[in-house]
Amino acid sequence: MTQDSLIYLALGAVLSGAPLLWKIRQLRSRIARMIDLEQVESLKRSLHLTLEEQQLDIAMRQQALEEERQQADMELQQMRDEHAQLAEQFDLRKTEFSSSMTRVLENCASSQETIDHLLGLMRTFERWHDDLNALIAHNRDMHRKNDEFALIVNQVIIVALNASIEAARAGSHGRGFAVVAAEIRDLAQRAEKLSKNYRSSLYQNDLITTTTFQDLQAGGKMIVGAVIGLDLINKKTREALAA
Amino acid sequence: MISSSAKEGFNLLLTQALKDSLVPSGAHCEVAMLPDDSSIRESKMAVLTVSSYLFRLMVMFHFTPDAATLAYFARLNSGTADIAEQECLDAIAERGNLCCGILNRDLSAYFPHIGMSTPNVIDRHCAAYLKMLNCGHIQHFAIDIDQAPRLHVSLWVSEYAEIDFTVDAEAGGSSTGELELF
Repeated sequence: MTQDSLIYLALGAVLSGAPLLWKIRQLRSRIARMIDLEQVESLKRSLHLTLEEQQLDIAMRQQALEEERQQADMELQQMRDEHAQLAEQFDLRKTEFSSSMTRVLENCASSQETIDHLLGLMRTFERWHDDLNALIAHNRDMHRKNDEFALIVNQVIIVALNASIEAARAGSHGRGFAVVAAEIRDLAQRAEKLSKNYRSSLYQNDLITTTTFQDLQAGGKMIVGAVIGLDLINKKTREALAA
Repeated sequence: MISSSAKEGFNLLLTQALKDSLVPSGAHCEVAMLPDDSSIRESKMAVLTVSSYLFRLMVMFHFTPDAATLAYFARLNSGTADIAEQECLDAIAERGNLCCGILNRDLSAYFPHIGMSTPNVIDRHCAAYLKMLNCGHIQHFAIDIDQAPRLHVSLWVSEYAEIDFTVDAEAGGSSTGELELF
């Protein structure tokens, strides 16, 4: 009897406990799904704080941006001022450059005028050339005259010699004539010596005249060549400046 | 003073110029340097000057206006030997002019400011007074060309500053560029 009772009791306990356990589990599940108000409140506060921090951060960033913008505006203005100053300086320099360019071109024109005048030196060198030819012709004429003079002197020597021979033939009567003939021969020999000396001087003169005038002529060509070089440079400079 | 390399340069450039101006195309030519002028006996000289402000260079073309010499220069210039004596003398002067034109052009590579004279003919007796010009460099040349009498040329250089330049013996004178002739 007792045993049965225990069985029934156990059975009853099992039958009544199972729904209870199921109910308890259901309740636990529902409780687990329920929101904790405190936690919510805490979350709310935390969220609010975060929001405030973010708003503060945004405000600070806005302020920084504003400051940066103002700085950029200032820099922009400064740059505009500098640009304006540069533009002003550029205009000034441009004016100065234009003025300098005008002066340089004027100087080039002045140089050109001088160069053109210098090129007229050619006429001087041509004149010297003509003078040289005249001088050489004059020297040639002096050579011719001196050669003729030498021939006369030779003839005089022969005549004087003949006179000496004739004087010797005349004996004592020709003694005075012999003295005169000897004197004439002596003079003719001195004249011959002088003529030879003069001939040497004329050759020396020919050489000095020719080499000196050739040097002048070649030097003239050298100068004209240099002036033509200057002319070329000046014209190229003008073309480059005008371009 | 003229340096030894400058003297060699003057000699080399003149030798080249002589070969380019006095020799007909295809003819064989030998230019020899003489130790002195004892073998030069021609009666006349065609003289030309090449001047710079640093030096004065004179080239003397010695010649005797005999039949052989005149005929050679006549053939060289006009291809015929049948021309008058004055034309032959002009031909010699013209050849001298051509030679110095080449020398002038080649020297302008070393001396940019340089000029050349026209030729003049003077008597050989004038040569005795060349020493008055105080030349720092004198060189005489003998030129032997096929079917031509032996020619003599003298180079006299007076310097007015230190002259020093070197001519490349391989390159010799330049073979291009315009000649400055009168």
